[in-house]
Amino acid sequence: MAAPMDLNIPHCDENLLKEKLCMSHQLGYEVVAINYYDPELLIPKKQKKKDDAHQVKSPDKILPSKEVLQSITKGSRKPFKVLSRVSTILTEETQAHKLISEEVQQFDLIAVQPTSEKTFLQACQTLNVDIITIDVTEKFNMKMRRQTISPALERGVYFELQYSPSIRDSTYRQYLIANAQKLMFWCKGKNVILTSGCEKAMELRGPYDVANLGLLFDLNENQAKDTVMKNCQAVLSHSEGRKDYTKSTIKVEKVKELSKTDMWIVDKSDALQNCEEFDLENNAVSDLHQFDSSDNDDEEEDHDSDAVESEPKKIKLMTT
Amino acid sequence: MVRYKCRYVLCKVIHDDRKKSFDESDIYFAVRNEVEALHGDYGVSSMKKTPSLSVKYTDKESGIVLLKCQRGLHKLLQSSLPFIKKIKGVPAFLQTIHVGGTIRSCLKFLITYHKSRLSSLLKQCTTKEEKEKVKVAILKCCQDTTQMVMTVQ
Repeated sequence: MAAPMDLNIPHCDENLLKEKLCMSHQLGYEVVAINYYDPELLIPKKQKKKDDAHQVKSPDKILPSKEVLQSITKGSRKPFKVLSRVSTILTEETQAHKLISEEVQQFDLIAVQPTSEKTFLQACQTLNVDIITIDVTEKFNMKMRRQTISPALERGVYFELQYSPSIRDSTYRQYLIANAQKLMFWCKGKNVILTSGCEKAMELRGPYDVANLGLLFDLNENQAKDTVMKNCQAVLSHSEGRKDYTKSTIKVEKVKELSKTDMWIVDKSDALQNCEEFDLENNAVSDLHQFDSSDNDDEEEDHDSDAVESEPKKIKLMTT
Repeated sequence: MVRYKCRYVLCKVIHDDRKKSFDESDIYFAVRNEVEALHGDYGVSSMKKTPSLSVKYTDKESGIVLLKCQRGLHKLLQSSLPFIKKIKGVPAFLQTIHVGGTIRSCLKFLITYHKSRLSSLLKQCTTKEEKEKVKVAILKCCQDTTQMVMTVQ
């Protein structure tokens, strides 16, 4: 069974945040993302009144210190991971370029809440984000079509529904159920995650209870469970692909920064490298020549691309 | 004779002040009101069928509650459980731990659940006396399991 996750805990002052994290650990969540919500993140600086006052906080400032984390996880062996997440409102198409900037990309997860049909389409098709938030505090006015949503399903972008506003108020509950059922109709229960978005610690719910909420949204039991566990894992791997990987298959990391669990890769790759060096001296040079001569009928550009492609293969060998 | 099939939902009450304890009736009405708010008259009236919605067991010290309802209707019950935010006027909620078909299986699970929590309790202890108590409890449940293994072999 995958680990239960809650990918939206709003950032607030220290004591309240600690309370929330404590509660989420007590309820059995293993991965938690602290959300830094800034509705004016994408508005260009010229239009703002105060130029200097407004700056994006770095993820280090949002995450709690190590001592706080230790005091929370004290006395249990369960792993508890805290991630950082930034979320904004997307009102115009032209604002989206700021999402690529480095200060935004530092965050582990990036979420966007589109307000119009055009921005929704843009978020589904082109934007380099992990999560598309669907507002549960008002009626969902946009027209959904299969064509707008299917690129998001293919790219691995996930739709987020927050449940804690619906616990606060019964009208929000109506909106949540209506919006969720509308979404489920078009994406057939795939690519949906349920998160809390809680303001108080008492608005959190246990992972099984959240999965049961899925039963109200026309999901079957497996799909409902996936919204808290498997799909969240997919979001994390998508964000990792956006952040660390070049061309999303190869990851370059320094040996010193590797975690202990991954050290076996280094040992194996050393052994493999020795073998490969030996092979290269004997065979590889002659092989390359043969390979080139067979492809010579094609254009010369092909030769270049082959040379580039051979590199990743070597790295793959090393890591396997 | 036809057996009435039931579902038992094992829950844990989580609330702020630990001194307060809840009766069976408090929890029953909290759950019933929430079912009524979410599923309306249909929900409440179908919960009144013979294996009706009831609270079978409460543990005041650990805050464990056992709810019973008809099999098939447990989806109505489970979907309305997360929306409970107050019990007897105190902000509290129910966390589902286990869903089972018999009371016996639920209590079996409850024993393993309590045992698994002992090790984390040991680290939270501050005074020596508390530590001794928890240690004795851990030793005892270890002996129980070894006895179980011996008898099986």
